[in-house]
Amino acid sequence: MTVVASARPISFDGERKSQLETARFRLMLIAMLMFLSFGVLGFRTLDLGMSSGVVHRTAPEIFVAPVELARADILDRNGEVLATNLETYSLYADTRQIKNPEEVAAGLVRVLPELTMSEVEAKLKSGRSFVWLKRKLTPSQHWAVNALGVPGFEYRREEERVYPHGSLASHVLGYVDPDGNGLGGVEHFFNDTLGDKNLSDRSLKLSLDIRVQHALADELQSAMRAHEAVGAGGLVMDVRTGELLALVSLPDFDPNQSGRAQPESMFNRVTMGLYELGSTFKTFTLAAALDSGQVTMNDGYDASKPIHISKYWIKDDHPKARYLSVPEIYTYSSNIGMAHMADEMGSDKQREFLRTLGLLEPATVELTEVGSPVYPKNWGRINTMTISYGHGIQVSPLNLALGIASMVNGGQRIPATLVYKDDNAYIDNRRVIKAKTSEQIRKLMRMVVKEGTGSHAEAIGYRVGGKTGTAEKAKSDSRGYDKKSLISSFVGVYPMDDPQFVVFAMLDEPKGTKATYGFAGGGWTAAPTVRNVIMRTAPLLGIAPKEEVKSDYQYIAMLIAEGRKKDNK
Amino acid sequence: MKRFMMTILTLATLISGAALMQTKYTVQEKARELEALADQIHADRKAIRVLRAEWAYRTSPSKLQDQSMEYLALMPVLPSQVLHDVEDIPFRRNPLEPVAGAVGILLPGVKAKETNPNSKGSGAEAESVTRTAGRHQQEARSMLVRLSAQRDEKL
Repeated sequence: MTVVASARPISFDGERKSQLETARFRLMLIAMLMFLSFGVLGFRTLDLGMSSGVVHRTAPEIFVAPVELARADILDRNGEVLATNLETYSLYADTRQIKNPEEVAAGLVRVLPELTMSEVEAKLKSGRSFVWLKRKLTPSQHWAVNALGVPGFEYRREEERVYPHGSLASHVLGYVDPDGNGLGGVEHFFNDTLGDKNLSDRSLKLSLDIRVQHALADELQSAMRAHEAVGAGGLVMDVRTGELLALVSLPDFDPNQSGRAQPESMFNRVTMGLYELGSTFKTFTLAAALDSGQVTMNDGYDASKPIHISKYWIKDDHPKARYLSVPEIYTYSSNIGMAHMADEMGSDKQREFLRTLGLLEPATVELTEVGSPVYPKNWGRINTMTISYGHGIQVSPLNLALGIASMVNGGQRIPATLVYKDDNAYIDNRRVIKAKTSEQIRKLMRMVVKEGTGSHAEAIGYRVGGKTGTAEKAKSDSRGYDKKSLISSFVGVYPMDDPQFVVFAMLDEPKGTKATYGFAGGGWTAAPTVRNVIMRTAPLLGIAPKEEVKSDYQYIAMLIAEGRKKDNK
Repeated sequence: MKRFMMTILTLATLISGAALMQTKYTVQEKARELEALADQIHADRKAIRVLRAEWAYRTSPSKLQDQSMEYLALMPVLPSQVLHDVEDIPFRRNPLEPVAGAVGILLPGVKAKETNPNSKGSGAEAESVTRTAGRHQQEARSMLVRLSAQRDEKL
């Protein structure tokens, strides 16, 4: 360009001149373009280099790889981990790379003492390119094996389901097989949701409170030990929302080692087990009678002599042998009085009432292990009489607790749930009894603890109400009952002036002890358990001890006191 | 003049170019840091999961109960130990008097100092402690009054 520019123009003529000029014009054009482009570049560089004003914030997306898991966590209502998936590493070896199998085997057995020397050696000498040495190492084992520094040892990432609380809440949680499929409890019920890869960063929040769960399990365990019972069960339920804060079935198992569990310890007595629960059923008979107006608190029945019907005798455990008022029949747990009351009510009404309560169908809860109640097909007069006090009908303890909850919560039937609900999620459910009847039942249940068979459940300050239940177990050949083997239970509710929780405890075949004067009934074995559970958990659940309003119970107390006077004469 | 302008422009271009390069490398460095941070966060989240599981294992109620029985002998709360009314808490008879020996433990903000009667100035020190204690007591009292007023409003 400079050459062209510096050379003095030589004038040419004609064709030659125009050719040269064209060439020069093109050259200039290119030069201009180049200059312009460099100018733009230069300007932009200056601009970028000097500008400090507007900062264009186009922050790159911070991409944090999510922790990918095959299964979602399970938490309790306070966010405590109940089940979680942890990464573990499984050790395998490429034996072709291992030159000195004896030495390596000795080193490995030193680190992992549970392996046997000969077995490891045989594996390492096999010459195969892939041989499992140990599945699912703990982090410290992983570290120790790594420290051996053996070439040819490799790891494969695997996941393990861990239940940090061991056997606590095992029947609620269930367990998984080695491939991570839920096989029991909520692990099974929610298997698809928990195992959904897209949802694995979310967790399932249960209604359980692990502290309450422990208190209940601990108390049931010690009661079981004290009374040499073969099993025990219990639950704590919110009477408004139906949330289960604790659900215990003993004996239990460790879901971390579900393979080693005894089959009978896997059995969930509370939801799957069906029992004739005895006198706790009197609550329903009484509620039906009060609600329909068949009886009032001022009525009563003659309980002076046992009832003889077909070839059975209906007797009282603690016979008063006189006319009993309605509150007395309930607080003293009179079978005769209840049988008369149910007889007057009739079979159809009784069955219909139990059906609306949901006692003739499996309880609704997020478990697959739910038992379907057993009741007579032909509901005759004799059945009506025995069912009135809880014999001749088998329900699960959960069924019973749900029934009791609707008796005391103002008369609403609620479904049980194991999933955490917001406090606001209270749904107005189906009404089964009038609010006024519910109030009467509350007072009567409180009276049972104050004056009657449930006195061992009295937790001072917490206004406990409840009902004892003692039933003889049917003999295995289904001929009559075995007087020695009992199902003793107690269903408690507190605080009775504003019911919040149902606490149920049941012992399977308890034996009387010195401390209980040889008695093994619900009032002696299960009621103290319920009291202890309430004493331990009420402060955790925010229920303050309070002095109760005595006048609430004045009238019923008077009726009972009048009866006492008769007894003393 | 033209030449001068050209020099300035060239220099400026060179400097801006260098600055731009520098910025570019800084950005790359930051991007790498960011990536490393993201990896770190990922690793930490994994570790947190393990730690949470371990925490749940170590603070499982049955384990805590065993430990408590061994070292603390704590028992379940009795109904008589629960206060649900502010008015059940009694006032101290003489709020200006420090609690014997353990002022710092009971009242926040007061340093517990070993008072040596032989050393100089201990009297003044004790006096100041007493004064602070009195102030705390007054604060506590006003808080109580406020709390009970709130409760009354609720009722």
